[in-house]
Amino acid sequence: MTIGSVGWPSGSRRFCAEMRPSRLLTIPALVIGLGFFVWPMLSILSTALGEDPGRIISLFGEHGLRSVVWFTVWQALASTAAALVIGVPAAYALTRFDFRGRGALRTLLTIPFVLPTVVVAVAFLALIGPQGTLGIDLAGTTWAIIAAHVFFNLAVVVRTVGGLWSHLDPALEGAAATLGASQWRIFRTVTLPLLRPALAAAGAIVFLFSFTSFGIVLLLGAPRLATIEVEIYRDAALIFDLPTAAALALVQLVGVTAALLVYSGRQARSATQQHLVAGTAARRRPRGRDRLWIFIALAPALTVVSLPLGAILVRTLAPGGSLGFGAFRALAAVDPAVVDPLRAVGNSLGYGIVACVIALAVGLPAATFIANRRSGSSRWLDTLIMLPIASSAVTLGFGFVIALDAPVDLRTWWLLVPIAHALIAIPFVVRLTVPVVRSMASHLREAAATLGASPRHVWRTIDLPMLTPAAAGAAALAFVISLGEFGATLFIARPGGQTMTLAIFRLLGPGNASRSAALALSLVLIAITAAAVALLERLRAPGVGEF
Amino acid sequence: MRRIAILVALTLVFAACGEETPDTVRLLTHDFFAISDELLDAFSAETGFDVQIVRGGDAAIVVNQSILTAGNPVADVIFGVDTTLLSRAIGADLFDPYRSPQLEFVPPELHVARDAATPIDLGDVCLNYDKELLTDPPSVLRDLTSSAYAGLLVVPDPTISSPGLAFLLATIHEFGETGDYTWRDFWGDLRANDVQIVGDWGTAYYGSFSGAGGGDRPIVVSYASSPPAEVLFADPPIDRATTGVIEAGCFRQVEYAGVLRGTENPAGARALIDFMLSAAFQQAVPTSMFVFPVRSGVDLPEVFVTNTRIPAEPAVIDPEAIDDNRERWLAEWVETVLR
Amino acid sequence: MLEARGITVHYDDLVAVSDVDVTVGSGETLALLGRSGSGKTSLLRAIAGLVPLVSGSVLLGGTDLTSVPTHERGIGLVFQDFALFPHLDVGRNVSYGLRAAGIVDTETSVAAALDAVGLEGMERRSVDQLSGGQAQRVALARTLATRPKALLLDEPLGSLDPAYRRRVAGELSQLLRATAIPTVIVTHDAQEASALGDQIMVLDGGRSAVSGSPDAVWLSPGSTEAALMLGHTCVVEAHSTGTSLEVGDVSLPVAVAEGQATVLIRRATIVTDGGTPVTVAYSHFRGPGWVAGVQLGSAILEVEAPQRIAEGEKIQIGIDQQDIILL
Repeated sequence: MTIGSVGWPSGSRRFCAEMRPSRLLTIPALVIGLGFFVWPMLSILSTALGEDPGRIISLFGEHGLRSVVWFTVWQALASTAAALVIGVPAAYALTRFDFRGRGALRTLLTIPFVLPTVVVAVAFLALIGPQGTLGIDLAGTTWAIIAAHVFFNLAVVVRTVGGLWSHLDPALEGAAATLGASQWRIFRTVTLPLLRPALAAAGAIVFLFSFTSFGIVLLLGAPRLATIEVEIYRDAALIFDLPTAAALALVQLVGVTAALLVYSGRQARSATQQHLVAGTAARRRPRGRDRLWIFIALAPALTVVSLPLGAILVRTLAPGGSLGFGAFRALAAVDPAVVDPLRAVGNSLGYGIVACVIALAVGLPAATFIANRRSGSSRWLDTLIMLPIASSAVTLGFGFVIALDAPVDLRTWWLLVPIAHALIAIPFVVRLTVPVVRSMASHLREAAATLGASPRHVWRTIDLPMLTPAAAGAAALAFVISLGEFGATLFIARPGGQTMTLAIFRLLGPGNASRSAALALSLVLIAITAAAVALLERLRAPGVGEF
Repeated sequence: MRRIAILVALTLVFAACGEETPDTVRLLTHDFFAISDELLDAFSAETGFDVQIVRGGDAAIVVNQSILTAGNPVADVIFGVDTTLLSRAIGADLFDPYRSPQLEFVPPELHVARDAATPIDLGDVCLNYDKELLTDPPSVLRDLTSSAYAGLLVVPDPTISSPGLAFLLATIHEFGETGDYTWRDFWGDLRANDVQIVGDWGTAYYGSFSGAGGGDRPIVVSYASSPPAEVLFADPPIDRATTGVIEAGCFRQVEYAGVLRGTENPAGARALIDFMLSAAFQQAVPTSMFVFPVRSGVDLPEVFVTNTRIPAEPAVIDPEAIDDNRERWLAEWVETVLR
Repeated sequence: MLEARGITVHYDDLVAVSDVDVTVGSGETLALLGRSGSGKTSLLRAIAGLVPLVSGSVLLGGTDLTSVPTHERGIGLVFQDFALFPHLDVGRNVSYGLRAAGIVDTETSVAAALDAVGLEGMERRSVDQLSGGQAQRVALARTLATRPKALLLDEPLGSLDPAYRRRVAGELSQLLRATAIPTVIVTHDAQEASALGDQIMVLDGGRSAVSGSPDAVWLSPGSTEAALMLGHTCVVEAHSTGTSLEVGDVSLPVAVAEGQATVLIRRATIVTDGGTPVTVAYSHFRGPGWVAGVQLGSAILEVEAPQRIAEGEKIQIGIDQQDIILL
């Protein structure tokens, strides 16, 4: 999967004046960004401060909210630590050794990351929920949440850390060995410090995802455990305490933005110049005791990933032990006024396509602008586009609902759902395409120009063909993000516009019959997601993004 | 060419989301609304309106979601706004007031000020217990905090579930907010006594309660009318319910329907409300939704008469007081029980 | 003395080094010469213990090190591109091996090591601020600071500017002589090998093609590949009639055994008469004098010329019998 690293761009290619792209390219991003992000966020701000600005301060005097913030932070830290401890050895085995089944294992470890969080929760409920496959009920415990976060985020660690690891010059470790350092010492004094940028990047992303985790915590932590994100939902949609919800959203926005800034600042400073080598050079076939080490390194990661996936398969295809499709029969039997599976699939696909179109229409021109300009305006646009990552999905949906009632009441407009999905996808679209636009070295365009090609012709014959694979990959990614989106959709979807994730959430409610229907629908969603990801992998531009 | 294909696909996908035909009335309600197809067909035949039922989850979620988009509704009529939610909904200007001609058959004490909403049924939220596992049910709420009842009670989350909120209000009514032993002390003791909190009523009743599903908890927050429902649905048939009602800690809930402000079909919406107060619909209320009709002079079915009764002294809290304090009570409850 | 016997290294299915013997005495330097892929780096890594041996053994001062892990062998290796740790400064790079050996107070040793390579006072410098020559010397200081019992250098001058290389080669040669330990140096440059090595071994396809003192191997390289590696240009297919050697359309009056042969012509001179007539293909100045290239079959034979000779001009060349070698 090619998401690029989540961070701010740091390219520095100067373009001659006539190659500068028009400011018109920024219009779609400005319209969407200001209208559907900045405006809702300002509404949240005014709701939070509205009647009594001192309220925000007093909120933190409340023990309950303090404990929510504390829980949010510590579970995110614990999830990050666990993901690193389990993911780094797996990254080692997968990047340092070449063995049969390596590619398949790598793919297997990547699957969870593209699964919708609701499906992740369903998988863990099937495994360690009430009447779970493992026979222990951990639903509602922090263990379940951390395990699910590790499951979901392992791919981030394996891909990011493994990506750098496979390119580390093996001569550095060899040099340390000839200088008398033992294997453990080499790992401690050479490998680990050199991996630090990747460890920090992966850690920051996992922390961010766990910090703003919604679907997993809502379903696995209920009713006791809540992240800020879940509490925002609870306050806004259930208790109906809008000022508190808005205040929490603000706290989360500020906290996540600060974390992102610190992270990108560190990234810029710690950019150690490294002699990197082609990936395959560093990989060797295992010999002797290597096989044992590979097994030990991979076993925890494979356990965490394969057990929940296995549970969902076993429970769907063979509920009660007898092979059959009972779960699908249960799905077919669900009251269509509660969940209409076919309609949910249709809605999800439709929203996905529209979100994809919007994300590309906004993201590609913006990426072109950002990549080709180094001015302040390009940095502003980049920041504007990245902000939805910081805000979190629930906040976005909440903002839509409280902001978009005037001048035109848009709150039940069907297009809001794909717009929200697109807002979440656009940062990834931009991250994915900016490096490609940047890598289209200006000398190629200059060469084309000296060969007599007009600027239009240059764009058509040089830029477009080079951009197409990345754009197609970005489209597939936007589609996958839309398919799995839950937090924002929960706020803004109309009853007739139920998506698959919402349907699964509804089915997890009362009774065991519909719980198995939720499993069946999850499997359908997994299948559709897998198809989109397979497309993404095929379309992915070679060499773009390790992760 | 591909662009055309995408357009066609989009048209197909969203055709269903387009304009609703005006001869359809959309009824937004909770998951437990039930009525027979025959009655709905009769309504269509009589008025020319088809009813499209839209379910949004638990009553509290349905009402809250509607309030978030008040004035720009996704349906024409909402049903399932109960006593605990009514003043919030009225305060958010959710309804178009309507006085149904059928209202004259409903006792005046159930009417809503300025006819913002229309009462349809009433029931009592009461603790149910499993007669097979529990021979000695608690007689007062305070008993639930004693070690004899440790780990026996399951309660739906009052922030999500309407019966859960009703039970919370019953405890607030019982113990009060001041004094030696407040409702918060009671809930603190319940927590220490291993009360189980689950998401919604369905999960509690069908999931955790031993008397109706696969659970192991013999006491659950449910309805006074749940035991007759057990009898009606029993397979093989049984004569008497295996679950019983604990009369302490009951809370009277009236369920209301209302015309959603901003509806595209006000005529259909009003016709549907009239229909819900009609004798035929009210007659069907006990056996389809297991609550009592609000209309006077409707005969109760036999199974109701033998297996339940309307509790003598259910807790009643003034809706205005509920509205003023709900958020604070819920926040305090969350802090006492969940954090 | 460093001895490696019957070294064989495989990378998966690829034979990198095959049955190579190496013997280097104390204070001696062996230069391994070969094109890329000839196995010279693999041989070096095998001696250091960085790649496993399929067969063979490594002995240092009579002790068998074959099953001793790299970090306990006491063999220093200066990597191609130097492999300086980018996250450590110059001083910490140099002290790395000392710390690994458990030495805490490294300051004086580091200063001395840097002093020895002419980089005094550079401890705090970041390694990415070093020039190529400085990086090379830091790498050498880092390795020498551990007082290795044998020293291996992989293309130590490879990343330096050609103009700078010859001077550094001289300095390096002096330094190596001062260390008085067995040294193996890998290079692909014949001049560098001659300048640095007491002995030269030419590797071809993972095997030793020829070895011996620089002058000996230059005089009789033994194989086409070795001849080309050692800097000879004129290796051609020739036909011997017994009294003359036919190379292309040129007939050289040399008596060798009759038949088809590959010959190396080491040297020729321009003669005024009695020589073999040939046509000049090019002529240019290469310090300190002029050279002329003549086409001899498929190869070019270069001769010293008194001045520039026009292209196409006929000249006569003389070749000494001993400068023609059958390969």
